[in-house]
Amino acid sequence: MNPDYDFLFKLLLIGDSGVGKSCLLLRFADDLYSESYISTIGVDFKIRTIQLDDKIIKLQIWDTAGQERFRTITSSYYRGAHGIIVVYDMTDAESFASLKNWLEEVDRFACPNVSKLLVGNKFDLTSKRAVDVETAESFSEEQGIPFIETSAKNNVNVENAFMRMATEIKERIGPISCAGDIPPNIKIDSGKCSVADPNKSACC
Amino acid sequence: MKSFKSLSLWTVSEFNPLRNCSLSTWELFPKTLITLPSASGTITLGTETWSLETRRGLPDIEMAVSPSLGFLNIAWHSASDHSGRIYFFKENSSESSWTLPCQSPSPQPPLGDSSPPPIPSQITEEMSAIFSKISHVDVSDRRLRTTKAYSLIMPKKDDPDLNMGNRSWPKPNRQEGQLTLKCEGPLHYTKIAEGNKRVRKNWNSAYVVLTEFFLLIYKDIKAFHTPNEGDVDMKLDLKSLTGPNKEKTQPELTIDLNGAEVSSGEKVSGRKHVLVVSSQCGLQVAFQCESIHSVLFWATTIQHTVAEIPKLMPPEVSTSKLGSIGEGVPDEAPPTKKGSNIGRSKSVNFKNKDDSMEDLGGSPAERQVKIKARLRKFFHKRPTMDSLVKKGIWKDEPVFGTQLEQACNSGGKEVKDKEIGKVPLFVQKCISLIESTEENMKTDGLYRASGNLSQIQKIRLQIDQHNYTGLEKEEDVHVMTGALKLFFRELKEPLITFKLFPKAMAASTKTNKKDRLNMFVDIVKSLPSANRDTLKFLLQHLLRVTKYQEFNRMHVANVAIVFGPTLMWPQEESLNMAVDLMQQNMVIEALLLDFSQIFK
Repeated sequence: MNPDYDFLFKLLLIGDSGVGKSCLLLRFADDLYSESYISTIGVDFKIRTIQLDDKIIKLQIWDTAGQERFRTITSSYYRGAHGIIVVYDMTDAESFASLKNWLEEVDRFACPNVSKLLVGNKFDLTSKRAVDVETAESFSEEQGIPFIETSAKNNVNVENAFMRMATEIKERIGPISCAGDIPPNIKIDSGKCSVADPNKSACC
Repeated sequence: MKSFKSLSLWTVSEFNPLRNCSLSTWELFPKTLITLPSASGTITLGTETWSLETRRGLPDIEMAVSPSLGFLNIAWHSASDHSGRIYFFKENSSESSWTLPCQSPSPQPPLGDSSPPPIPSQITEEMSAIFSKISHVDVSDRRLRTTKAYSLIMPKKDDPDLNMGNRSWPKPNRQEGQLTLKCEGPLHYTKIAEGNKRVRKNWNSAYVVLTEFFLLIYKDIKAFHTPNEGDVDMKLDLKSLTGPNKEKTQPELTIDLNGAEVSSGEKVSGRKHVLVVSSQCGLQVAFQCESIHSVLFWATTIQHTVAEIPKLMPPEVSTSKLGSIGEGVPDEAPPTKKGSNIGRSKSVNFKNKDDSMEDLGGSPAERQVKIKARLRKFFHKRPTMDSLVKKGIWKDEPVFGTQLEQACNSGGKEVKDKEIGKVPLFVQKCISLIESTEENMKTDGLYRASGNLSQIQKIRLQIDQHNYTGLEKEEDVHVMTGALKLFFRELKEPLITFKLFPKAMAASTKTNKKDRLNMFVDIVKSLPSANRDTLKFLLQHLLRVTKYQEFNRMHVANVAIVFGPTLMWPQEESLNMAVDLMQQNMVIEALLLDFSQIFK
């Protein structure tokens, strides 16, 4: 077992072109914001290690290109993902309308019990808002996917969004490691992952 | 199918050289396909922790360990090969063995809930008898078989590959719409919930069969082995297998394992050794096993099966050779394993009327989930595009998804403008509409942002009927740009042709500007006229788009990224796709930047 971290989660950012996936990642991983408006080519990824409760979690976040032609490539990245963050631009109703397509894609390519999160980005552009909270919330309820609004530019909720995802995945696979390419149900490393772990209660 | 058939026989020969009689029965019964984590360890499943003593200890699992031949009355004949050794072959089959299969250990699985008998020691003796018999096999023969066996046998205990996502497992041949039987055995079961509503517990004994997708519950072993009449697919196979006995039986219950969960039954029942399988449609069924080993085995196997489902459903599968279902080649050899039969009966079992009626109850949301699952199953089996093309059902569209040359012919007459040359009418119209207003050209993220996909598809269909009104009336510029990009993506051959792809890639990396220019001039010259004219026409338009970059933020590099994978792609997916992608963009960028010199 790698001593650097307790868990490694693979997250995937998907959504229409130009909704701010790369900006969200840049903000979360490097705490930067760039006004440059450049399409992602294929895929890109960044890593950030976080601490959740007493566990060190390494987040490997894949940023995919929203451009249609790239999708054939990006779809292969769904495999083995623990969490998928579906991003739309709240100033662009079309990107919200595309969510259905994106979620279908998730159903098609990702592990069925993958954690999902809906993110409405560009909260800073409130005056241009085209998708109101209620609409997004009802959609999120209908789909059974948690929802959060963020601004990569003003650093609103970006941290929250990723933490929420990490927490959910940890809760899901914490005791029984099960997702993606990790063997589904059996983890025997010194009872680290088992529920009834005497060491755990002793040291905490 | 074939490989599975040979399993029971080759596996034995694989072990022969080892002469290892201490091999556990687990390793010798391929049908059970069990992988357990290690010789000793703790397995956590749900909230109950089971500890596993050893894998070698004969598990008292009530399952049919027989390679199924024991159930059948199949005629085996003996014959001798060229060197005079006697071997056995099966009637109407290409299957053969050095030993008569009925000599292979095939204890009948215990029926009902009688406690499972320990596997008699005589089996081990029989094994060694088989070993010694087949040790006469000459080396070359054996090697042949051994290679076959490698992929099929259970990995050894200390195999690094030994995990639940095991790669060396025999991957069932899904392309032919078959299911593989993973394990089977008599258990007690009761429904706990149906459609997320609790139901009264009613324990019953049953014969449970696990296949790759479904957990089937039969009334008893007889019901399971009796074929389902009306199953055309099965009739062929079963005639030879079960003879005249054809009672209509269907599983009492089928559990769709897609997204199903396995948990401990501690909370739902006071009984011991209970596990619960919850399907995505809200069906919960508890199973009681005879022992801790048994419950552990079932739980692991089911969980593994569930985990394998998504992996087995990559997109390619849906477009693969599924069209060949039903075109069963007779010399594919009749299946000799019960597992194969199950596989074949899959489609019928799940079209079971009562079943579907019952299933589709529940709230609208649940129903949606079920319909989705059903459709997925349906699409999984739909014929491939290739087969549709062959049958003439699928025809080329006149504009989208065709050759550029053909797209230049609009409604029968070739479009050739003196000034611009051969450019498809759709491309001309689309570009002129995009350029029609300043507002359009200033749109932020022009060509980068996505338009409404359904609207784009609608326009595509209209254009294919030579109806341009939808496009002309379209107000959203992103739909127009989306349609234009779609046109280029859907072309049978990219605008920058397959042949010129390597040359263009090479040209883009040339650092010497003059060399690069010359190469591009060459490339453009060698393009077919329609491609050249259209490329020129498009690039001119894109350059106009970049003139508005302070409004639309689409500078040359950005336009190039968007059009890189739209205007060119290799004939065969390359291995270093990532590098290629960058270079593709550089090609477009170079074409844009040096446009005036390249198209003198």
